Amino acid sequence: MSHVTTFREYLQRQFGAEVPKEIVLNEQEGVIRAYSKTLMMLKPSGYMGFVAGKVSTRGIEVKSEFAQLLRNPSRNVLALDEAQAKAFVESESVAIAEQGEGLRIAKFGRHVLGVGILKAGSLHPDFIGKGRKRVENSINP
Amino acid sequence: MDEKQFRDYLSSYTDAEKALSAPMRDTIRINTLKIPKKEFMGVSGLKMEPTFYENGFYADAGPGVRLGATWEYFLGYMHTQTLSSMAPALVLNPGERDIVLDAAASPGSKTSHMSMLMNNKGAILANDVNWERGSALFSNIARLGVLNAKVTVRDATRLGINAYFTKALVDAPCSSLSQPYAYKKFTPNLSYEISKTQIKMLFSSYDALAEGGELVYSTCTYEKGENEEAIKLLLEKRGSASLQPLGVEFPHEPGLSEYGKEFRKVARVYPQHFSSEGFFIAKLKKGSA
Repeated sequence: MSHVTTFREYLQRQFGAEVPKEIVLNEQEGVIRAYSKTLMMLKPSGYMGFVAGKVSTRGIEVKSEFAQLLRNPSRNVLALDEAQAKAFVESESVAIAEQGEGLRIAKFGRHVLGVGILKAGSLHPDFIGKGRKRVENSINP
Repeated sequence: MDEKQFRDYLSSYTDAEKALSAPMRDTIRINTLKIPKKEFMGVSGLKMEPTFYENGFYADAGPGVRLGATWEYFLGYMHTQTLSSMAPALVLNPGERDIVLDAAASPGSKTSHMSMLMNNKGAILANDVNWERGSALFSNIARLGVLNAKVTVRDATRLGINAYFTKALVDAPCSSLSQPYAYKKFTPNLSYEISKTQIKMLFSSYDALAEGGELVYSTCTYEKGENEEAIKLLLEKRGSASLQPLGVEFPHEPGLSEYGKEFRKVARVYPQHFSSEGFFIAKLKKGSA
């Protein structure tokens, strides 16, 4: 089974989420990248779209920025309050009153914040890009 | 140049007093790839004022709060971008069927803007010569949900691609005279050296355009050697090239009169026009198709 198929099946199983049909998933240099179908017509070689995740012997990663594009995730979605959401965005671990382990999609109101790893009652975020992110204002959930 | 020399220099192009005293205001572009404009207006707490562009707004996040440290930015609902720098993508106006070259794409503000105008369809070759600048490009592409861009790292002065793209944006690295205190580093020789790279990028990108294709050339500097001179040289050396009307209404001054009537089609934006950085924008077409 290809890593892309494994990744798709995982998204369905873990989050009950469909990849929008206009998005292509493909493996490139060991990571799964997401891009528009129309990008396939562009001939020069390069890095397509952005990283959606990774399938490796260590497990499956789902990038937060890709999770924000998934349609209707229905399982393993954690609704955070504003303080928890702010901490999550700022790459801090968030205490969660839920048992279980594995990847979770974190939301604040209607806003999908990203993906975190739940372990021992703590949610650890995973974002693309280096450096800490900060939010200093409020948004209507 | 010192401050007085810069003031004198700028006076040869525009009303230097107005340009130097104009307030510079923060602006954002709503990223409709991630959220419809109407929904953004419903959730955002930013204070916003409209501009000439429907998705560009003067914005204020409140006392002491940077726009880059807001929920709206984190979620990719908006991008902090100067109003002037939104103009090149609007002038190029790429559509869903276009194959677009972005010759100097990092950090991706204009790439993501073009992607938005294309509804994430078509294709963009987002190129930059520098991997270090590329990390910001990758980060912005992911945050803003850009799916129709392919990132390459090539020297845009010699792309080696012929007659392929339907549109091209050459937002050339420049002497950046519209940036605060850039005049301190400016010398005619530095500008001349930069212009040699700009001209090579312009020619290489133009040659990569298919017949009937359109190219927008922009810089954030005032120096004519990096602006009108580059365009003049292309028009002289490439018989198929012609200047085109910008096709977008925004406050600006025309190109320098010494280059003739045709250069009234290019735009020189100064800070006094809409409280944003200075820009030069020209639109060219290849052939008559």
